[in-house]
Amino acid sequence: MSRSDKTEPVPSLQWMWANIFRKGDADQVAIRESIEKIPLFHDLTKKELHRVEEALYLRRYRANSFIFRAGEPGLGMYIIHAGSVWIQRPEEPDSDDSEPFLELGPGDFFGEMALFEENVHLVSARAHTHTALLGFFRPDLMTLSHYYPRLGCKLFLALGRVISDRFRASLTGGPVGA
Amino acid sequence: MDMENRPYWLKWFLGILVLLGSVFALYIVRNTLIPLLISMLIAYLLTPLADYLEHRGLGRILAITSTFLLFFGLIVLVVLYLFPLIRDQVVDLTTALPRTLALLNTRIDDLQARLAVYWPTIEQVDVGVRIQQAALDTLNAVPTYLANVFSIFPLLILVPLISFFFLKDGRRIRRGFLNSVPNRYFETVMGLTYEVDQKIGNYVRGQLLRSTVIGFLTFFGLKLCGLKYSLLLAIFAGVMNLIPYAGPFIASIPAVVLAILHQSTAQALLPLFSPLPLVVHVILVYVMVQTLDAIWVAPYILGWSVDIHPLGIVLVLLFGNQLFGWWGIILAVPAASIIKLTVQAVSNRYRFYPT
Repeated sequence: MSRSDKTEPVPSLQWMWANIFRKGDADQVAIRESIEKIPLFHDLTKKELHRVEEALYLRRYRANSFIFRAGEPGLGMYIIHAGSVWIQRPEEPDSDDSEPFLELGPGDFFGEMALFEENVHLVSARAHTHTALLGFFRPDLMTLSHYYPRLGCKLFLALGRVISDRFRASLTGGPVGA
Repeated sequence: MDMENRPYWLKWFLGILVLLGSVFALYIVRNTLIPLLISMLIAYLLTPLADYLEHRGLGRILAITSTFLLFFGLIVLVVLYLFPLIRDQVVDLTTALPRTLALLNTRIDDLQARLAVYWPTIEQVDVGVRIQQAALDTLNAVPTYLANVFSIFPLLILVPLISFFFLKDGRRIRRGFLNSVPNRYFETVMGLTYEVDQKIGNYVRGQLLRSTVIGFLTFFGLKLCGLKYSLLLAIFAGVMNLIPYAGPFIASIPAVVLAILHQSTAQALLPLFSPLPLVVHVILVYVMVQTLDAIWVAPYILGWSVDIHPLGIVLVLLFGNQLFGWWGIILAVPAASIIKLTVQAVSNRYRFYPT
């Protein structure tokens, strides 16, 4: 497995055939490495990390395709595994080369507010390059915290911290930490 | 095909075409679907238990194996225990049948004679013979009908096998399915899958529990009345309750008929200190069971709302019968629930997504 794997044009026939029977082990290792680095999951034990991993969905997006638009109902958050994502405010034009409100890269995540309740996204997220995202969705979070309350607590605490950081940053105009 | 830019009506037309196509395809394979559906039902029932065991520390394989053995072991035990009882009652019933029919005949002749006083013409309508013939025809048809509906042997082998695999790999199947959904629809489909999962799971478990409770209540009630074949009737009542609206009513018919005929031979468990005929007691039992069901059992156990208008449910039942017969009626309501949730999810999606 090489780095270039992820920048290859995603839904091409060649890519599909290469991946259709692949067991995905290389993918799994890469995902695990990605997850470990995320501050959200710092407090988790190995086993807990594994359980979260099982609840993630790997999704691939073409360059310039929308992950979600502002106003759409959200089901969960996305962690960037590879590639880059532009976050755009709803009032900004949709054109390909307008400057984004925010640009995120591997290890960053967005959309975490959708984990808490059924509501619409406030911003649009667009894949700038070919991107691989790890989706973590509300039903899975609820199931996890139902069966593993301790893990659930850790996750909710971490999420709470992140959201309050972002809120503080948006109020004071300071830098937005991932 | 670039669906995003096609006219609105085309999307609707194609959507309906696809829906009809799938229904037609399902209709063609309907017989082979039944073991599959039953297995899925069982897997649905047992998954929470397996999940619970697994999360308590048992490995996945151990958890499903134990759940599986528990469930089917229970079934075997129940069948072994109940079978002699049921068989005795069935044998009793079949030997008593000619006598019962003769009795029914005389009663009807009696009734006819009495009515003839007011309506002389009634003598000419040979109701008694007609009914007897109809009864015999139905009874002769029952074994073959049951054999068709339940074709036991394939079921006995296929169902445990398929349900084991659903239990084991259900989660993986769902993930595989979700992973294949294109990005545009992914969140919608995922949300829908979970919602349907919850709703249907609750519905299935709730109905089963409710049927059991109703069966028990009916059994005790009938036993108190002293009606024969109370076990059979109770089981029948429990099963029939799965069918909305008509089920409970149908369930009461054999009991009422038997009560009319066995007036004199009833052996009450408790001395009947009321002078009312047996029929009234039996009817009372069924009515009370239904009332209890409506007031306490159904709301408490089910605690769900299918959210479909009663008229809608009637239509749905008719379609279910047309397409799949008996099983269609039983499965119609959850199927309709799934369809309704799907339509809601899809329309929500189109409402929110600007294109």
